[in-house]
Amino acid sequence: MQNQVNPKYEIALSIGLIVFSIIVYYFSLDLPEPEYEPLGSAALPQGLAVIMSLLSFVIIYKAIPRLKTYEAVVDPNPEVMPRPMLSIVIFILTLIFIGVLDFGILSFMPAGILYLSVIGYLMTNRDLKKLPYVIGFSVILTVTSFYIFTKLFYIDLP
Amino acid sequence: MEPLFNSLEYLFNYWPMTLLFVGVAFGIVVGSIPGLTTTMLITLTLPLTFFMESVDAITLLIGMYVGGISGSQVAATLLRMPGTPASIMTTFDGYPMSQQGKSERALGLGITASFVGGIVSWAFLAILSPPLAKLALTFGPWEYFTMVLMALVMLASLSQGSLIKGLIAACLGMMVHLPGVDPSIGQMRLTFGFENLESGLSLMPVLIGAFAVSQIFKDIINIDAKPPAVSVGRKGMFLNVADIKKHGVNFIRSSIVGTWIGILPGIGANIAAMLSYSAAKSSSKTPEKFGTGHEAGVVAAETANNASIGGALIPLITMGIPGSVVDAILIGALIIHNLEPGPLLFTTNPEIAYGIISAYLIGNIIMFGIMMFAVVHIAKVLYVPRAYLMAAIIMFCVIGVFAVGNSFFDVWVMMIFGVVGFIMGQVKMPLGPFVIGFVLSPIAETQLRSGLMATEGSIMPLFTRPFAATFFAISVVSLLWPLYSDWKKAKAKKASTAVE
Repeated sequence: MQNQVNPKYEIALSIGLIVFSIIVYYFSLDLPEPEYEPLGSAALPQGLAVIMSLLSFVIIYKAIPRLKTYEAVVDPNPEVMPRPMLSIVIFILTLIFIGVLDFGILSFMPAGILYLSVIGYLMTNRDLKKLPYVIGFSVILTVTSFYIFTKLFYIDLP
Repeated sequence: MEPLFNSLEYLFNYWPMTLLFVGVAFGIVVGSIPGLTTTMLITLTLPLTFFMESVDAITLLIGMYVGGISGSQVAATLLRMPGTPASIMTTFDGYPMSQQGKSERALGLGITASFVGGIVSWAFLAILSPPLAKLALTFGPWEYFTMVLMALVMLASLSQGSLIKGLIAACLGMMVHLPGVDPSIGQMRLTFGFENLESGLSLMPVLIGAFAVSQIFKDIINIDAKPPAVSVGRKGMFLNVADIKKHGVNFIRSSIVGTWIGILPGIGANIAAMLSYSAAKSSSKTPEKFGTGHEAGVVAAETANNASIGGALIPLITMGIPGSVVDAILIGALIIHNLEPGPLLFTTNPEIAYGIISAYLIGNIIMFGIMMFAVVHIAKVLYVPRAYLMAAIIMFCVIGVFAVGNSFFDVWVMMIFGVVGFIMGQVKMPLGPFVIGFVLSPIAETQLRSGLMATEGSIMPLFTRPFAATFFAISVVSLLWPLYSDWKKAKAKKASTAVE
């Protein structure tokens, strides 16, 4: 069925959640025993970690039998070709943009214009005819945002 | 009544009225664009509200809430692409009507239905909120703890996906709130040695990451999708007296269903529309027409989804419990403005409590005006080039989150929660319980621990205090009912296979 989730993804996520729960549980062991009230600081993290692990096991238990029967339904002639790689590339570029600002490599204006131009170019199917519009849009958006935030809201953008 | 009139009078000043108008208009536009949700708009606007008076900020956000839910019907009707999940049911009959050349009629019905639903639920909000807030003042820690429990369990059991996934999402949301200072005794916990985690994870990066960033990267995957061209006129949009008479019962029933579903903690407009649609279908003399372009279907769905907003605002202002995900964000907005959501809001900050009630009323009227007269132009928003829109939203996410705390740590957190939200979406794990778990976690923990301290560790008040016992019982039933229902279905399936 198309709306069914791939059981492999469910199992992978559940394992991740169990590992996360173990980490939370382990680090909450160091918290001091309750002194002024019956529960203490560790009760909630430990309780949630146990509940989440148990629920994740249920997901795994339910997903395993579906491993053999699951068949991904792929539309052979989709109206629009999905572009997962584009999404990944833009995500990475966003991380780079944030990193550039965080580590002070470039200030907001040049970094913003560059970043928006690149992702705009990629999202418009690398159409060179649209590039001047993309660059114009990037300059306007970055400069406007910079002045709104710094002059109106007194936020020091890097 | 006097505080209500005072807040209405304040709203009619230039600045709050402008904000409300802008909020509703923005809400409608964003709600119209498939993929952009009301939640995303309100989340992204939150950082800008820091610089406003609290009343003005809430007025703006309420306007967006009303506009967003109402605007989502445009794409649902014209393109069968619900602008927000609240309009999924509208696609069932709105789109077939549009295909039959009755786009204007479908939109006119939907807009009027949204308006009626909004006004009826406003009446409930205005009448019920003050006495409920008084009642809530008598609540102690056990009542609050069980109410939060009820909100989380109900949301987990009724939202998209399975109960188990909903519960995991709620637990995850609560866990994400754990790092930092323990809200009861001030003990530092789960900072994993990171100095930045000592003050905990802020609401904004988590919200913007989970709702906005995850949605953008999901939308970029299908960035080449272009909606088919549809033209909309104005003819036939206004309903006449005969139409109102014809749909009168449906208007009232759907308004009540929507308001009631909205009041239930944690359940949003989509569930309200779904239940109202089912109620309209089951009470109709021609149920077979539903889904084929039946006017009653559009009326039921649109009345209820808007009515649920007013209903959801009732637990928000009276008890500080969110009626939906957007309300959880509004609670965050109140907290950010150093206001304490809950029954004391009516005594400590009546201008906020009554401001919400007034803004909801005027917001609905503005929404009706804008939608009726500008829907022709609003429909064109559907064709805004996605590349520019997405680029602008990513930029606002980064600047908005940075602006809140002047910290890049928050921006990194936002990106991490963008990935978390994306993954949750891929495995159909609902985001609603996650966010409500995150917002309500400190209340649940503080109230439970205060309650246990007062009773020296006894949990008997869960059974002996009437309100706490009722909330607890509802939580248990909400938790067990889906499991029982699944078990019954499995048993019936087994029996039918055995017979075959």
